[in-house]
Amino acid sequence: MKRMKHISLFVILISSLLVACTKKSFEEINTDPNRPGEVNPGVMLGQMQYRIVNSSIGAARGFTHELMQVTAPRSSSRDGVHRYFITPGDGVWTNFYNNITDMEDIIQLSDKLVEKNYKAIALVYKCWAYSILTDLYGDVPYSDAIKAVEGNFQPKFDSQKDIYTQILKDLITANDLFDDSKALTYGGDNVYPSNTLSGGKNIGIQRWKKFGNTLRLRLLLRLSKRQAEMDVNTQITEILSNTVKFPVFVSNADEGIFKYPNVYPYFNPYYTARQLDWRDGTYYTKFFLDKLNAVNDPRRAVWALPVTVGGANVYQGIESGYPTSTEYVVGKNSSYPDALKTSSYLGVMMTYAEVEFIKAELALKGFNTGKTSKVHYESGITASMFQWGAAVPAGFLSQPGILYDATQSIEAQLEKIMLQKYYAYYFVDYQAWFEKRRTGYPVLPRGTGIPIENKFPYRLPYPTYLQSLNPANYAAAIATMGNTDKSDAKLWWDK
Amino acid sequence: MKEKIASQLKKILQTGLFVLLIFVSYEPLKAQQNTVVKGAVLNDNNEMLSGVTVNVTGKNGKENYNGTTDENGIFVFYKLSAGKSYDFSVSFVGYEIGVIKNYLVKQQENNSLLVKLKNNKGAMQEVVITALGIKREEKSLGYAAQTVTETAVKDAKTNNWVNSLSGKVAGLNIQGTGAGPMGSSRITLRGENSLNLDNNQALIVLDGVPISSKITGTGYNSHLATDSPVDFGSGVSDINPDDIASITVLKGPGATALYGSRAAGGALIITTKNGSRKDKGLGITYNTNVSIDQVNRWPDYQYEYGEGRTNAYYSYGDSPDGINTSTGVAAGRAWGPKFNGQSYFQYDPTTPKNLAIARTPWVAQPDYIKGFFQTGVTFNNSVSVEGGNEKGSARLSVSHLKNTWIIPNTGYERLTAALSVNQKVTDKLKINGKVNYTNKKSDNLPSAGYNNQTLMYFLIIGTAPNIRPEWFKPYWEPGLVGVKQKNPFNPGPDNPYLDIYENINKMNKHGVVGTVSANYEINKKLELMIRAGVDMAFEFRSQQRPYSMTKFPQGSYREQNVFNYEVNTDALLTFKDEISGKIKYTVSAGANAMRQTYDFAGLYAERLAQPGIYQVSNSLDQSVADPQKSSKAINSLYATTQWSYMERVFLDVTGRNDRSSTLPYGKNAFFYPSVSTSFLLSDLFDLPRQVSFAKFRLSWAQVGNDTRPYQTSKYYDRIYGNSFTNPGTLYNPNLKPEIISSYETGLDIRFLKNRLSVDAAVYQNKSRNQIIAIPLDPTSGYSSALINAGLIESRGVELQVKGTPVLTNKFKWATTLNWSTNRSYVRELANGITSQVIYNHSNNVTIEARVGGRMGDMYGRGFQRSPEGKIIYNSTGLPAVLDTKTKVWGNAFADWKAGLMNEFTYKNLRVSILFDYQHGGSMYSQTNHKSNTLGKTNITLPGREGGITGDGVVLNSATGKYEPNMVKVTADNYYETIYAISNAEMNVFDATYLKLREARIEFNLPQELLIKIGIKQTSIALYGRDLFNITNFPGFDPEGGNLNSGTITPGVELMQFPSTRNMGVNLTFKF
Repeated sequence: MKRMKHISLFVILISSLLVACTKKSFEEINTDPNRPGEVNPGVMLGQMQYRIVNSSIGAARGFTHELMQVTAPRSSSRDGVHRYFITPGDGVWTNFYNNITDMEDIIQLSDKLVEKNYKAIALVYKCWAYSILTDLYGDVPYSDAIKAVEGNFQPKFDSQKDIYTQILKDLITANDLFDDSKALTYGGDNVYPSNTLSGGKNIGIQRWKKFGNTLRLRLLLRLSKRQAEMDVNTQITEILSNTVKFPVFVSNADEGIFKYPNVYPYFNPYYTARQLDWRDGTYYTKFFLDKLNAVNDPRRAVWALPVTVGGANVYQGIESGYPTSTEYVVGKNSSYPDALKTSSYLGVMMTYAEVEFIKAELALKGFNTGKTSKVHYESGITASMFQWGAAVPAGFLSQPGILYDATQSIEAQLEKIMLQKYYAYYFVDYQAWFEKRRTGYPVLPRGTGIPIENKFPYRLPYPTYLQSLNPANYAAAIATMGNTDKSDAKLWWDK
Repeated sequence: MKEKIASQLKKILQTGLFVLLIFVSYEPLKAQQNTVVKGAVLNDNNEMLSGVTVNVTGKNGKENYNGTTDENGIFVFYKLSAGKSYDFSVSFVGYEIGVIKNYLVKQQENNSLLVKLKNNKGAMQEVVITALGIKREEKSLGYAAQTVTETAVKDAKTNNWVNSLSGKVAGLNIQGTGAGPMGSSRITLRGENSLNLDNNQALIVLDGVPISSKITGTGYNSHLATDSPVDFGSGVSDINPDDIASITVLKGPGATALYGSRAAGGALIITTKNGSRKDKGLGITYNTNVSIDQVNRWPDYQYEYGEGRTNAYYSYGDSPDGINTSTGVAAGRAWGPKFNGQSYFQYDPTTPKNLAIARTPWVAQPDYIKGFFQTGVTFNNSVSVEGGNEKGSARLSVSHLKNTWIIPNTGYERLTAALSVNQKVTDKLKINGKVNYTNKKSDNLPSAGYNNQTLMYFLIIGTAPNIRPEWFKPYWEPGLVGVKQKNPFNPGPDNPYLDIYENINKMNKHGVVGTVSANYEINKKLELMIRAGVDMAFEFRSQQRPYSMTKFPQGSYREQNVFNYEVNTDALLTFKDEISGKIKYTVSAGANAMRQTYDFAGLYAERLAQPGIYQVSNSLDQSVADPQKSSKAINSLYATTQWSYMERVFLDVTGRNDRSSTLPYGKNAFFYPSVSTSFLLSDLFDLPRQVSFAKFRLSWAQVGNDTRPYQTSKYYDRIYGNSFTNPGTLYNPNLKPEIISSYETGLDIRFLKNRLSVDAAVYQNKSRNQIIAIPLDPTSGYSSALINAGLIESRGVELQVKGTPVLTNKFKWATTLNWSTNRSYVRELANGITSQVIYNHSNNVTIEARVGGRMGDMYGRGFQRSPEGKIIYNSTGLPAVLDTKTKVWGNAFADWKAGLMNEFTYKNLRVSILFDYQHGGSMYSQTNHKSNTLGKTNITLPGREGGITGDGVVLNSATGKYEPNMVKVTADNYYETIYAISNAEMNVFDATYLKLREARIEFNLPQELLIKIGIKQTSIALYGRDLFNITNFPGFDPEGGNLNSGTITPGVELMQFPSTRNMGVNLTFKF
């Protein structure tokens, strides 16, 4: 009996010990006190903008600049993009898809909160990101992507045509969603950050609207060869003719630049780069600098570090695609100046200069842009210089090499426009390469160290991980290219 | 009646639970001619032993009495007849039997005996502390449990006492970090069962309190992250080894099933010292220890060629000899000219721009690396006071340690206090309390790993054999003190003295591990134990980064408060009884509630407004808060029962049900059973006379492992201080615990009166349902998903051989060999996944679990080979691009390990020597890669003059055949290519080593002399640790690993600090 008493005492003791073991208390304990389960679009947008532009300018510096002969490595004993060795790299693939996860989240959250402006901004970003992805690789996961939560771990790939079709639609949707009479409820926009109503209007939203239409114009131009299927010209005309409904960038103030505030946490991503990594291993090419030298282009001083040769300060470049036996010594050629590391203006996504060059080409092809090709061409150069903090020197636009001669052949005029567009694409993701693929300009010299069999690339091979993590869809995607993941296969719009 | 009482007492004693229960045995005094015989039982240390069984037999054989010593170690017999002779037999668990024959009892005299029992560690009755602190006789255990005594951690002290267990326990593996004076290490038993490295660590239990082995990292990995990892130590290393009485190592799930999910990787059960009764006065022990640390092994540095990329000439800056060949161009490379007695324009510390006016002799500086180190010194003083009476005892100890490490301006200080109190409140109630307090602080701990701001990075990349260490000493540019560092050679690494004196990592930690328990004897058969234990630590840390550091142009200051708290409350009810005298059984049931809280609060000034002011308020930008909190709870119910038949066959059954807060509610309760048996073959069968003891054991167990908190629902990750993003890993609302099931069998045979014993164990563990993050195609929205998958199978053998080859009155030679081997195989992974990356060193080498492979397999790239196996070269005379297919180049874990301890005792002299050997295992050496590609080692000397023709073949495209490579290349080109960082084939090395781990000579001063001056015992000892390290590994130490934030990863060394030889003197006085 007494024993029973003790045992029951023990049972009571244990029960009291474990009394905390209720569903509520356990679920409370396992609720993360550091991270929210729900967020608003304002706290998602800014970081996404920062990360994706870091990724895109990183690709410009790391890939486009080397391929397009802006720069070349100081020492390169084998392979190298400048010798057209294109390895199946990640490119911006992983970073962009990571950021697209946040974009999709912002779109969903905005639908829930009825925040049209956030949704429209996220849609524009999504279109911008997917257009770069598809122009890089061809077919990519699109309609099936970002559905891991629903259990889809292996998304199918969509054709480039389908992706372009949807992007162009989404850009119109975004254009209709923008409401410039409203501020962003939760703030967070780091590209057009003012977010205040002036005269009842939110200039930031107006600029986003312009961004979306400018992007649409860029993509429509890229589809020039697909006029028959996509009815490109009608859409271009629609934008050019209805500037109230479809405004595009009209000044440098509009342009899509993530202006690094350089206060924590949004520093220029190269802010603390070591000299070793920033400029001791990479130099400008002769191709890039010699053309600027010929016209005393004032952007040289912003983009390049002068070196002393025979007592004079000069901008001097190295060969691209040089033989493997060549190695350039440190510090004897022009490289990136340190000021660019800490510049606020390096986060370039889409520029006003680009619109002017797009219009120059459209005017050349007979579209009614309201101005001549020459005017657009000159505005483009001026805009680019202004963008980099340089002024157009007197007489600059009329000197040989720059002067636009409307009497030349269409092809020669296009080449002139495209060369200046190439310079204006400094640090703009892969656009210089995409445009070179579309137009063939600028014509790049072929380095003597490039193996005869290496061809100028037309796409990037897919990341290798797809072979193990998404094998069936990967196989289906490359089936159209003859079952090899080649870099010299032309994409749909390029055929 | 009396016999009944006596036999009852005897039975209870034999259950082995006497330590918990205090019995006093005296029989009613009866007035007759009987005479009182009193006696005292002491151990080797002259400490009274209570609860000792004393058996007295009369010469006629008819008289037979049993008794027990009381709290004071005194036994009394009242019934012995004067004038008769009796034989006394005194037996106690853990001691050899003491016998006094033919003791003549005298009339009316003060009949008193003194029996000294000899400690017998090899004896079969040894008591082992098992899971939950339950004390058991070793013979009844159905699983392997190895106990080491205090000398194991005290004899040759090291900064982290855990590391001194290396070689002393079969199956125990200790992986260091080579990351600084704290000596944090990763402790595993029986190999790797989980794909998550942190899950494989053994549970450390101090006096019943599980203590945190969590290392709060800096958040940075060891390879070129924004900042570097710092080894701030862990809770385990806070314990003062002088307070440790014994450590029981429970190696497998069979032994630890009662601990449930936390001890899936085995457990180290540490018992600290209790006060013991002194005959009079206090027992004071004073211990003082001084030791020095020296680097015990260096890579094979060359001193024949100096800095440069060309061996034509050398010039610091442009000079009449030619353009600059030093600084940026050479970037720490030692491919320059040979030291041939010539002179060059070299660095001149006396001129304004350090450009030389005249040529100076071109000579090697043998201290160009070694000169940055110093001899480390550690002072350690401790004093303990203990005493007690029949009702209770207490012990108090205080210790102080001060360490200055081998890198100037680094080291730490530790103060500990430990209190242990036992009190018998009533006959039925006994209470115990223990508390261990530690204060550990450091004014600077070194930054570790491969990064601009670490010294080791500088030593390989920043300097060269012609450079003097003191040239770096003025580490500020003149006139720019505190603002701009001076870096006269390679601009990549920071100035080493800036690293040492301005790049400061401070810490100050207060930790308490305490436990209170009460035992209440409800009746002779039923006992209740209640215990609460707490492990709590508060730590302040800060990191100062001065202006102009490569990665911190405007400096930075960070501080963190880290609070760690865990409380365990246990209740255990035990019922003991027997059936017909042959079958004895114990049934226990209990419950445990565990609550864990971790609260990390970081405050960061990422850039400083003013240089040199290290305060959060001096942040140039808005300062950043970084809170990381987590809590976890496990509620458990458990039961255990032990049955013995005739003390010959034993059966244990345990069961435990855990409910963890980290798993989805409703699916978070899990049951862990175990069954173990032990057969005393020596009692069951007639074995040859030489066999003094034989036991066979067999066990099966299943334990689980939960996961980290907050994995079962979606949370957004904070990024850039005030923004949020989707997490990279997809949560899983259906997680299940990992389950490890284990079989174990073993044989314990002792020969020739225990002079030789062999204990062998064989086991197999299978762990399923591992909680792993499988990689996803990021286009799905996440880069990984948390799932239950996988099957890892571990097998192993452990062997312990103990012998006493020589045993005389004055001389004893005891030897112990520990040997173990383990193989962990990856049998299954998630569906469709064939490889799981465990650790990735920037794709240069990965430790991967691949189906069919072993845990710890190291994958990487190697040379392309022709069908004949020759290295394929390209036409330029260099090996062709590395083979894109990755292969296994080694395994991070040893094939087998052995420790051989020899101990010689001659009179008052004791000499012990421990050799520690590891066979196999591999390590990727970043130190080797970098030293070789920069020409710093002797291996890079061949071919310096006139070039080198690599041994390999070139494909002749015309014939399609491979022809020998005939193209000569320069030495720098050759070695830079073959030792490239991505070439795992050339940078993964065999980690076999033989170390003279410990050597010690101890002399005890003769007691007769000491007694006169009031000292009971004095010993003086000289010892050394890691005196020799014989290995082919080209880095410092094949035992190192690397610290990645808070995880110690094996198999890859990323610029480890030098390994050290430790030599010291130890003095002990007992009053």
